[in-house]
Amino acid sequence: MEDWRRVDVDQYDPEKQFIADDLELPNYSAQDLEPKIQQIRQYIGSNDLVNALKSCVQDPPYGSTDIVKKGYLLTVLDVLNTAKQSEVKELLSQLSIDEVDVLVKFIYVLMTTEEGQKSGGALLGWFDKAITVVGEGPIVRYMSDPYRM
Amino acid sequence: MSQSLKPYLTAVRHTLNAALCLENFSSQIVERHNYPEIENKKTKEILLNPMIISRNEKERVLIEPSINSVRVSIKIKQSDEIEGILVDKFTRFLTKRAETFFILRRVPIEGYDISFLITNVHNEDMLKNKLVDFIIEFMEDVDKEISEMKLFLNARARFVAETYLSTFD
Repeated sequence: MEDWRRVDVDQYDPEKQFIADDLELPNYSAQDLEPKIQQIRQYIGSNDLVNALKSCVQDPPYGSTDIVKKGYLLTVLDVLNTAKQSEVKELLSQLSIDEVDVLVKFIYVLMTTEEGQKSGGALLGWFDKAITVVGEGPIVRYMSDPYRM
Repeated sequence: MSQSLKPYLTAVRHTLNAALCLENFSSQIVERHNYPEIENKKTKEILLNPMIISRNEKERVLIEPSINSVRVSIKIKQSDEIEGILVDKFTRFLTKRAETFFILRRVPIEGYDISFLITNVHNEDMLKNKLVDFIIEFMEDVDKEISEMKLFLNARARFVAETYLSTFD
C-alpha cells in the first residue's frame, strides 16, 4: 500500500465513533405527500398564501429521500414566488416564531438548489423580511438543527 | 447600490453575525493540539450546518460554521471570460499575500473564488462587528473593482488596437 502514513486508522476505532441520534423520522414517499402538495397548490390557486405557508411548514418530510424532499421544496418555492414582495411582511406577521424558523430553513436549503438560485432575489427578500420580523434567532436554530431538509 | 444587492448583503451580514460565536476548543483527537475544527472535520459533533446564500446562479457565499472557526467562501460574479480572468488574477494576488492578511485562506474552497477562515483567535483579537463589516465591504468592493478593471482593460485594448492598426493606414 502506498502512502500508508496518511491512512486514517482512527476512523476504525469503535470507541471514537460519533453516532448521530436516531430521530425516528417517518420516511414519506412521494405518494404520501401527494395530497398535501395538492392541498398547497389549491391554496396557491385561490391565493390563500397564509394557509399555503402554514401547511408547507407543518410536518415537513425530514426523513424522506433527497428526491422527495426536492419535490416538496419546489412546491414551497412556488408558494414563496407567488407572493408579492410588498405583502411578504404581512404574511410573515401571521406566522408563529416556530413556523418562521422552518420557513427560514426552507429558504436556506432552497438557495443551494439551482431552481432557488434562479429566483434568488425573491428568496433573499423573504429572508430579509423574516429576519427583520423575528430577529437572528432562526439562523442560530438552523445552524444547530438536526432536522435537515 | 442595486436593488438585489442590499438584501443579499444583509442576509450575509446576519448569517455571519450568528455564525461568529466562537470559543477556544482543543482537539478531542490529538492531545495539546488546537485545530480550526472546520478544516480538519474529524469531530463531527461540533460542526454546524453549512449555509449557502445565493443572489443568482453566479454569485453566492458559503458559510461553514463550527465551534471554533468559521469558513466563508465567496463566489464572485463572472459574466464573461474577461471577468473570469480578472477575478482569477485578483484573487491570486490577494491569496499570495495571505500571510499579512490574517483571515484570508491561502487556497479557496472548490467552486469558490476566495475563502476566509476566521478562528476564535481572530474573533478575540479583533472586533466581531468589524470583521463582519470587512467581509461585507470586501464583497461590495470586489464587484466594483472587477467591473472597473474590465472597463479599463477594454479602453486600453481599443487604444492599443488603434495605435497598432494606424501603422497600416
